[in-house]
Amino acid sequence: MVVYAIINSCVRNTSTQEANVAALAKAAGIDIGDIKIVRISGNVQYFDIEYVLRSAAVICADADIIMLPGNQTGSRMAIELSCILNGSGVTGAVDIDIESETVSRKVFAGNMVADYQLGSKPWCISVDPTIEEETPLQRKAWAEIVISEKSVRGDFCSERVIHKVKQESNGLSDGELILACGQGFNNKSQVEGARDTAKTMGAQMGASRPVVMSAWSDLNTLVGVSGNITRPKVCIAAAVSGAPAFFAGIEKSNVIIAINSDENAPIMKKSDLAVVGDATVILEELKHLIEG
Amino acid sequence: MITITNCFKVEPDLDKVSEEEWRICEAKGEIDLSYIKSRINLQDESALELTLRFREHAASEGLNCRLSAVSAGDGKVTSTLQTLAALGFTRTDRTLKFDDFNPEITGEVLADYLSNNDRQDLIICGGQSGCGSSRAVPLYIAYKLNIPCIINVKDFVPVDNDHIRVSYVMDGMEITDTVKMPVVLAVGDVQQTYLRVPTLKQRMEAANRKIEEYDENSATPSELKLKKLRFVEQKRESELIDGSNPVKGAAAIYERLKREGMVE
Amino acid sequence: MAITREEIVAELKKIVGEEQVVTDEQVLKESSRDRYRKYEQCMGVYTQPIPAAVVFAESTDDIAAILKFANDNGVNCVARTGQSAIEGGLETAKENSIVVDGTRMNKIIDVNETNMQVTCQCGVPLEVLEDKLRERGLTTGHSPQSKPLAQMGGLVATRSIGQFSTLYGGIEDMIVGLEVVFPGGRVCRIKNVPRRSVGPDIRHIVLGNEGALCYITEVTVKVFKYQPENNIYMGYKVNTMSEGFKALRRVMIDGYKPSVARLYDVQDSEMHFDWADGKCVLIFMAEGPAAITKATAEGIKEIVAEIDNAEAVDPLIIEKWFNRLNWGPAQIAEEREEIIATKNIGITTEISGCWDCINDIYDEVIDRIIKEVPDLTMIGGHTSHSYQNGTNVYFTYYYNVVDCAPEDEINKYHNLINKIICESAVKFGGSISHHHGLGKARAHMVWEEYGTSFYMLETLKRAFDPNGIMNMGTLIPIKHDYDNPWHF
Repeated sequence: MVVYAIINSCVRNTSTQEANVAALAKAAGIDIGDIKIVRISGNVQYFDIEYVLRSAAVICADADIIMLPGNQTGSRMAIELSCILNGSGVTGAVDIDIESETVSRKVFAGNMVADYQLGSKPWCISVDPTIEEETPLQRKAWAEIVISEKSVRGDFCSERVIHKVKQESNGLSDGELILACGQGFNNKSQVEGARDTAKTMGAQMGASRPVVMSAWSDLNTLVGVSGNITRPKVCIAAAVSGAPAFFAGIEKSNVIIAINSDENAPIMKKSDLAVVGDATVILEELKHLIEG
Repeated sequence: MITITNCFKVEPDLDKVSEEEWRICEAKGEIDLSYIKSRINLQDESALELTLRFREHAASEGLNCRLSAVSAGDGKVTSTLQTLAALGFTRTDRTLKFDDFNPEITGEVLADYLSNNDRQDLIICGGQSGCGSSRAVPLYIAYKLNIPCIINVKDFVPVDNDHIRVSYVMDGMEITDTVKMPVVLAVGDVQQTYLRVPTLKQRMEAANRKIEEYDENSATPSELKLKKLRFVEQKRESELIDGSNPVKGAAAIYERLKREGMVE
Repeated sequence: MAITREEIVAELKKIVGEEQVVTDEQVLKESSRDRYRKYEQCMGVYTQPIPAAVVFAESTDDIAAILKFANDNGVNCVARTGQSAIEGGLETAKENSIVVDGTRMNKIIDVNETNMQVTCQCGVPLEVLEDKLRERGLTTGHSPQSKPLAQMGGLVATRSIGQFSTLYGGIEDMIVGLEVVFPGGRVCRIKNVPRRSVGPDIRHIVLGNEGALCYITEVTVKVFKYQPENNIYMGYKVNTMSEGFKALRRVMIDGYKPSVARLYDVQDSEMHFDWADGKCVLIFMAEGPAAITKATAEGIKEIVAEIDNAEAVDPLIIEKWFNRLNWGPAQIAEEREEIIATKNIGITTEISGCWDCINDIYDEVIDRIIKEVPDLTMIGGHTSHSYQNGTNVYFTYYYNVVDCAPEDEINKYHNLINKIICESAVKFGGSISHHHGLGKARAHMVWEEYGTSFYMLETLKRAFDPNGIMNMGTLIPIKHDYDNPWHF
């Protein structure tokens, strides 16, 4: 089996990407040492995919499997490479069974897992962004695709402005204590109240998708499969129903404390401590307790 | 004239499905959510509203737009196409069934439909569906039509008849590109972009618009085959506390935080 | 000299203690109105006088003491429990009112299975009561859409009705005994008996008083056996409302008592059902002992079979839809964000009429609203409570708020639509409110609604609330513009 992994090393910290790929490799029973790492490198902040795709297609021409991290770059490359190389493209894989040529991925907002029969090789597979394995991939690259300043933009783009580069360490991704707020809060000011409690506790504040989409909290506070994947010691999930797409963003927590007025909300069974009550007033009380 | 086609999908509102119902789907070996109320996929809805705002912006710059919309299925799809007709989409089409589990097939169906029509400057859809969530359909459309694709789009405005300015996010970076059309735009999470509501008057004016049916497709079926669906159980050993007295509820949380070394 | 806000607060604190008196500015603002002014609520605008305090009562004695104080000092009191009111009943229409909140009086006092009755305080949430009863194989049979929010005091005060009324009746059929407090602090108990003939039924002074005559502190309602295993659901697509109304009437007058009998017009069907295909939808549910549900279902099927081109729908779809019908805080929060983003808002108004006029009322309302109301995006309706002699219609309407400040929306759109609906109801001999209550919203048509019997309502008000301290503006308006009655 010829297995490649493509990692974007233009960003300084590639550990998340590598942990992501390593997790799928482990699930598939692929030895990390057998994976040929292809690194995309260059002194650029951002590049268009088309340059990389052509080079990657040449380098990985003999691939049986091409693994990519579950970020946006990796996910789109999986599909586009599969088109160029006439293989099978899959995004968000949680497992591969090489023997039965089956790949598994989450569907229906994370409520179900679908097992697919893979077709022609190469199998171009990006990993579910929530799975991680501590073992880093080997440092030495099998091949390198170097992006120069000149090849940064596709022909169709006449002007580019990069507004903001992601912080090296996002408070939510690294925070030890997180307060995640859900739609059970009735309005923006209640969410702000929760934010005060978070501040008092020294917790990072996150929010579920409905809260963010209603602009009660910034988009960059989104916790979940399409936002921040957190790994805190403790996560307090307040007024959150606990749907899988959100829960994927907190399931790595050592301890989950849920506050919800509905005893039967899905989050209650998924937590270590479940408090049935009004999140707004309980958080207010908690703030008083911490302030002493 | 800037020609735009929005592709959208209607899906069951997955938030309304209970754990028991997912288990029943697993036992049956199929997903039957026909009894759940449907809604436009959230990112498709954002895409449609952003398209309408684009048209307004274009008009203020003296540029004309021709809007079309296409989907597959009936029921809510029909009423959504009628709503879009009332909002000024001049073509409202229905194509072959999409495949929830096979984005390549869906991509082929749409690419086939698009290549049988006039060239579109912009092909716009939501980046990700709730059901398959592959984020792949816009990429397949773009590849099959041999045009670029920008994903995770937040906004797009007209520059002139050939160019637009697109804002998008890519792995944490916020970028604005000025691009030459044609291009496929896959819209990501955009705050407060509910689709506007047409008046009854607008509906009556569009009442005679027909939904054109496209049932031709020369696509080859994809090799990816769905074998099985499994329910995902997520559970912890949970201690349940009655927090109806908020002081007691807060005290229980405080104790736990102390135990975990999070507070003094 | 009128008592000041500060004096009111100080006195209340003396009466019930500081902890039970809330003067937080945001709480007071939110307590000045209910969901009648939904658009104002969403936009964070407050047009009603802000109350002086919200006082949380914890016992009947608290209520008695508060009402005595209010009566002695001319302080307007608004009784409140679940806050699901939608007709302005909770608006604090007078300056320096107080809101008397009974949510802390939330004990279920006694479940008596021999007598099939449950007694509870006014602040017991219906959903909590229902869940507890179901654990014992019992049910109240009362299931308004506000069930996740509504509490027993408010449900009795507004003459509420639930989704299964065709079998169980409205609250008026369920109520047994009561405890109430009148202005001045007088506590009255009405005992629990199955029926009596000892003069007029005084419970009906309390039922539907909307806080304008007394404060309800305790209720006893009947309970029934909960036997959902025998439920049979039926759904049909039919071509016209007129055919649907006829079928409903036949079901009722032939003697069947399905727990649910509903008819949706084309527009309302489209909002609720993805499969309606431009038709009206007729829905039934039979509930109770197995032999009865079977016979009820068979009888209904025979009646519907006589409708031309009626098409049956998979009962499972109907069952699943029904189980998702209720409105809780999450839906309300989501709705608010959508309203803010789209400036499109949906409201409802329900009326009733006898069989011989209900179709006329329906047709005229739809016709007039389409012609007279600007920026309308939807008008439709359904009937959900049928009787031997008639039925209700629940109109649903949506409009865009265009070029209009939030405080002007109520008159530009909402009151205009209510005016049309109520005028049509009265014109054909129907009633302007079936179950939401007059509140303050439709109080401006109380004279047309009552005709000569207004004398009876007015006398009750004068007798029980001589100092005018009980939810003034509800039932009988305090500020009425005779030239523009629907402008307020």
